[in-house]
Amino acid sequence: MIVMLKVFHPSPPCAKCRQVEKVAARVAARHPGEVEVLSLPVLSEEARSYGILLTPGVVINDRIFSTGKVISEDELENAIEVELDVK
Amino acid sequence: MIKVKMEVLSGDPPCPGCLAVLELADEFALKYKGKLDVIKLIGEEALAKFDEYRIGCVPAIVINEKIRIEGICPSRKTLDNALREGGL
Repeated sequence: MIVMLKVFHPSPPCAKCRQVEKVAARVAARHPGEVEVLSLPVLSEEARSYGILLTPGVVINDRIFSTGKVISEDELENAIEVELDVK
Repeated sequence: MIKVKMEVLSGDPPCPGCLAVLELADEFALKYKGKLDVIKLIGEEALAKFDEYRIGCVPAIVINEKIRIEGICPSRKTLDNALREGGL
């Protein structure tokens, strides 16, 4: 099973969004082949379809996980593990 | 007199830092009228310069083609110093 992790950011990305992208990349690196990270502009149909109003916006498997804040690696790791059914 | 060029890059939609930098840019444009050329680049129009200067994130301030501020809104004093270093 592949977990789809989407990070929505303004264009060009701000500092907080860059941080979240790095967190996402580090967490994905711990699950090779299981987590796919996509970095996407918030001014898009896709972001609108999720109803994201604040950046950075993080969507995991089509569900909004967080918006407007820098999430920690632990928070994201836990969420990914739940999706992967590790926990 | 040679004008100093200050390019201000902001994301679209702007984050709080970008909004603050854009306001600061307006303030400095008035403060140094005639000496400072302020160019605001927002969203799509910032992307070319974002890549050209290899900026990591916005908000960013580039003075005379040199990146001076990146990722935060500077204090007035910091921006004044950056402009002085840039030749103002």
